[in-house]
Amino acid sequence: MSIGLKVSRPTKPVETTDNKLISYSSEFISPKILKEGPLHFDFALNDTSDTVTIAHGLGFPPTYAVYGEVDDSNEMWQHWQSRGFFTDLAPARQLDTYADSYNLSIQMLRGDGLGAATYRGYYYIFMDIPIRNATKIYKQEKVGIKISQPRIDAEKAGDVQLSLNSAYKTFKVFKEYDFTMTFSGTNVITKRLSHGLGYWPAFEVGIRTADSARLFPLPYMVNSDGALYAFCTKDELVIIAQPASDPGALSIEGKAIIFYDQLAG
Amino acid sequence: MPIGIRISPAGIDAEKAAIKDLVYTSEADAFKIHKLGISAKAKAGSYDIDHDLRYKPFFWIFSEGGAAGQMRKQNYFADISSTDFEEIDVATPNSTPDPVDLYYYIFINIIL
Repeated sequence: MSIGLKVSRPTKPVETTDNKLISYSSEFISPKILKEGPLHFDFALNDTSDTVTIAHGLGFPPTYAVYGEVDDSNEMWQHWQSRGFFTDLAPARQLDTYADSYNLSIQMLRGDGLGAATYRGYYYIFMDIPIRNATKIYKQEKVGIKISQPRIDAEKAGDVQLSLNSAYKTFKVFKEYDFTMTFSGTNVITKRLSHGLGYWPAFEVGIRTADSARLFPLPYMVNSDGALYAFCTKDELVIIAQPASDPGALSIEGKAIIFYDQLAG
Repeated sequence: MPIGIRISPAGIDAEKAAIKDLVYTSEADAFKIHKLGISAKAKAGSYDIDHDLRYKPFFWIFSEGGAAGQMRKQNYFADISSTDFEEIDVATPNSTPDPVDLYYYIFINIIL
């Protein structure tokens, strides 16, 4: 890249460090967090549904990420995607998450006859959605730093076009991990990756089987094959593989990112 | 931190803030989007989103699902994965009623 701004991590030469390992480059856009905050789902005795609605005011459906507790013991947090099913410790609970032009909506469903409980979650709403008219400016700050992508005027660019804008936070990578899990019959395989942050962080995990050229983002669940999912605690990221039948000699490779960004704790 | 750059949100002291509260710091890598955009309309069946990376990148896929105007992060498609053959494969379920836009984010940070 002949124009632009690059920042490497301390002790790494900025001119020779690959973009994959660079701390920041104006060649790329980093996800800009428009809004974030805690969620609470409150169930009274025998309640089967609770919905939390977050207004965003964008006028178009934005990108989002939602994390939350697996159960009400406050120990394990999963990445909640749309129409997700909890995979353990949670009888008959389901989720549905979606964004429309006005709100982010998260609905939690559970079976009949369960006691009162509160489940915590955390949401991020991003404003980098690739809408066709991307020049809209949502948040004018009189102080701060704007960095545009090469050949785009930072002063005139809409927020969506900016590489970095100090009006918004972005996800910051704490640590990346490579891992391998080897199956043994139908035994549940658990991989624990220590992070030691002392709070529940945001994360992403992807896996591939040894015989596949494909990467699958977690949670990945196929009824006939079992389930693959991940959750974090205050100290670890835990990846669980639950084969429904004996997969034979099979190992999977994976990559995980833990972010500094805090969900709770 | 003796060397590096920190950018904090307005009103926050960059020197005293925890990393999790900063906009950006060279102490950590930013989560970087290689490519984002809207695919052509995807019908039921398989659909490819091209990228020019020579490895398997991490990605997010969003599309309309359920009622019109509702954007969902996809994990209910029957199959969704990235390959090092320069594409992301999205297999939409047979129940997809109409062609949908796929909103995609391809990141450079996760590599397999």
